[in-house]
Amino acid sequence: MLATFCKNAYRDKVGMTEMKNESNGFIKNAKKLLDNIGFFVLGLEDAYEKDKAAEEILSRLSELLQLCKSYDFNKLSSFIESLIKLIKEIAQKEKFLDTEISDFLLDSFERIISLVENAEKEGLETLKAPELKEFEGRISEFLDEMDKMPQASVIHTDDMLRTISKDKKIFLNELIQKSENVYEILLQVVGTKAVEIDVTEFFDKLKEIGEVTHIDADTRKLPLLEELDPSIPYISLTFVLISDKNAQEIEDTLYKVIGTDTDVKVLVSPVFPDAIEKFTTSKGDSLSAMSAGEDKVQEVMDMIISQQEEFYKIAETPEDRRWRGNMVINVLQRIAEYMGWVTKSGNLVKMIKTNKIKLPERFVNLVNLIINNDKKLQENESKDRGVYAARTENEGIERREIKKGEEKILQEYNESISRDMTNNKGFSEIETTKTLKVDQTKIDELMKLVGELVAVNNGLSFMIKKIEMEYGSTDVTKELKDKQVLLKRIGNDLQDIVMSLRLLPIKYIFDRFPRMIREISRKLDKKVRLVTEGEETQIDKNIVTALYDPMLHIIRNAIDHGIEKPAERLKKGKSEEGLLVLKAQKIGDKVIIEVRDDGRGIDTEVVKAKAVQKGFVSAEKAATMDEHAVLELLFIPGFSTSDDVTELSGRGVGMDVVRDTVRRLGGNVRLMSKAGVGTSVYLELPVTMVTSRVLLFTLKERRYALPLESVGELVKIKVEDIRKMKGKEVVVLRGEIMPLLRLKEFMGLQNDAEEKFDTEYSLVVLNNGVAVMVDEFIGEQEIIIRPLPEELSSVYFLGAAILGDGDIVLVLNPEKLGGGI
Amino acid sequence: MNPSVLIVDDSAAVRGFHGSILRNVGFEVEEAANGYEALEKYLAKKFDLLLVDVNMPKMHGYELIRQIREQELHGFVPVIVISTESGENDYLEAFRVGANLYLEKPVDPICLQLSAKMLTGIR
Repeated sequence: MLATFCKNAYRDKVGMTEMKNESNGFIKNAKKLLDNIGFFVLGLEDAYEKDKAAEEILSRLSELLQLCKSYDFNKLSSFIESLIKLIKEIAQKEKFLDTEISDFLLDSFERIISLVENAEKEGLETLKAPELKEFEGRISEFLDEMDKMPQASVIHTDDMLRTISKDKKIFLNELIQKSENVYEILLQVVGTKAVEIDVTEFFDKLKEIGEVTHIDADTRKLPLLEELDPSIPYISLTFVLISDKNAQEIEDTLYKVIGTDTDVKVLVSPVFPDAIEKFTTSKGDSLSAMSAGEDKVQEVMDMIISQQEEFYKIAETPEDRRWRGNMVINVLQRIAEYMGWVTKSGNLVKMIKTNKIKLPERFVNLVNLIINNDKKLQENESKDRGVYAARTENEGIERREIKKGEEKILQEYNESISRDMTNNKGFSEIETTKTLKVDQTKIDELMKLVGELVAVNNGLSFMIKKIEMEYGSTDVTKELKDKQVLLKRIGNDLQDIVMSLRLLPIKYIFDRFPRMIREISRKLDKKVRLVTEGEETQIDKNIVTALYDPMLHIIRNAIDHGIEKPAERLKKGKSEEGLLVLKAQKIGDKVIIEVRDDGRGIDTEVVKAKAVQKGFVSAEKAATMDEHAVLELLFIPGFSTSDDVTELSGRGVGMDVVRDTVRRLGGNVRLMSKAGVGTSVYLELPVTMVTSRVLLFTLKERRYALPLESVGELVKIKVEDIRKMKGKEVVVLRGEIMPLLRLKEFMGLQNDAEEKFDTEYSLVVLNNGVAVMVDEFIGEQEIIIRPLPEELSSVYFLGAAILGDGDIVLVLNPEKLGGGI
Repeated sequence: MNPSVLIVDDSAAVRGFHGSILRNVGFEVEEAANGYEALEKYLAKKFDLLLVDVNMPKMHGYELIRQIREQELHGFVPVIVISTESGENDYLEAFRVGANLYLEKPVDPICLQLSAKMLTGIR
């Protein structure tokens, strides 16, 4: 600590603090932009993810470019610029990215990341002239290659117009100028019902109707070959057709061919000149002219309004009616905004009430109906709350219950109406954002406070018991007990809610593996198919972050030692591709993460032999061990760190480390394996956890802990430093007098005989000025403190924690240690 | 700012089709292939409009709407249901769970564009 302090002081002196902050800003931002970028590079290889991946990479890189430029890192900037150029080319060109380029991209990003990391350590100057020659050379090679490649010809229907290649856009534009009736026809698969379409007839019909100028296929629904059912139409087709018939006629004609009872639908939409224009020039100018006529607008509005009437009519309970009323008013308000009857800030209801605008009768009637009903409801409610409440309760049994969310909107709705009356503000105010970004440290702090609250409460229950024991049970103690139970419940609820704030989907960590798995399997010449399940399972953020390394370890083991080489797999009758499953599942208050492979499994005989050879078990004992016990052997520290791990054909490489980490997170690891079939590693983890740093020390060879934040310093003193003052022992340290607490004595562990031989004592000086004597310091550690069960709770302990080695330590409450003196 | 729409449909082709129709009139389009994905996206961000398919594997469209209405995280978000079933009770069921508009497949693009604009109130 002193060293850091000195360093900082030195930096201050030479005015480096400012620079350090500046570099922190750059490094922090750059790291954020580069984080996980490899994942998106892999996305470039996937035909369907490609556009999105390219978009993400490009947006990150351009931000990074800006950043580098603002710091005058010219060489790095130009490198990033050429990367951007390359990725832009990739996005436009051929369907699949070949692995050579993606490897190069991955390497490039890795290089940038290592440059940034280096700069973090050695200062930003290192970024002024980075060594990138080799990369730059290869980029220009790739760019040259790209030039020779053909333009993309496949169009993804999900972005039909947006991703249309330039050629097609120009082509469509030309078409539209030549002829007004250009249609885009989508022959679309909406289900999996088997159908038989006479494709020849379909095409003939199309030719009859007009001129087909362009065809695209969407093959995304195609499953893997083994799952393919030839009778199911997986492919959707898009045609561009010029015809003098109208859309309805074309549709009718085509339906005659394919029949109506199928899962294949035909969608015919005219291609509008302005639509094309918009996509060739800029994306989405929402105010541009519509091609729909007045009649159509009227027709659609009528349809929407009559549906709103229906929507309102089916209300079953008063609450339901209010809920529906509120929604309908919202919809009508929007329609009025769209039609230009009211402005975004104008309140439709108010305007109708005050007869300020003239609106279609039907529209006004519906609004009036709703507000009249609503008013009546409010009157009823205020007249007789009891009846109202009872009614709600009965109706709650009915299918449509009143929902909390609805209550909230209703409340908001009412509030906004009353507000509108006075403020002349619009309905749009109803929609306020209800999500909030909060600094994680604040949540941690809150969590800690809540934890303390619960611990204090446990102490309270202990005190009440003590009072009862000493003075007997009275009305007061009973009442006190009731209050304490209530407090406890509130505390627990509070804890639950704060806990839930810290949860993240496990996807967060699963998403980081595909890239790594690919890399490892390529290095090892193995083929691995990754399947993830239960990605939405929620788990504490701290666990998510801490889990990465152990999981990486397990996955690496699975690929390295579990999954066989393709040729070996084929020989064994397995598929060439090894299967690796990452699966998360919430069971009770635990999350179980399974990492499963279908590799060669663990040969228990080999493990046994190895254990005997290393002297962990005797040969006799090994012979009687069951499978489970054998797998346990793998967790022994140092079991198979030797070089012949691959020969062992199992894992065990550092499994002790994995178990250690997981235990520290409050969880456990189990292993299941069958030789030849595969291995599963189960990580059992708590959903939530709060970690605290503690100081570990021993008392009579048992370990105890104190929260680190309560520890001021650690000192060793000689026996002559202990003095007596007013009959109590004190320690004089740098002229300061501190009360001394012999913890062993205090806890009733004292054994007089041994103390006499000590000449040097270890002291923990607490922040509250008490010097606590302990046997020996061990060090600091991050642990999860769990409150003791009520039967064992005591004010002297904050709780207990499980250490990495499975041992349990009690955590002392520093507040209470001063009290005994 | 352009209005945003979340299109929920298990068929990529349909999502693409409806997406391009709405993009045409200035919507920012996001897609979800099933109910769970949709819920996730809904929880993460406020959309101006939801377009929900009825028959989806894993989570039925109506179940999705019911859950969204239960949450009401971002205030009122209009929901358009796109259905292939044309039973008389189907649209009633849609309204019951809280859908604001019921359109049948295949959708008339202009009708969809107009409806989307009217429900978001954006010209």
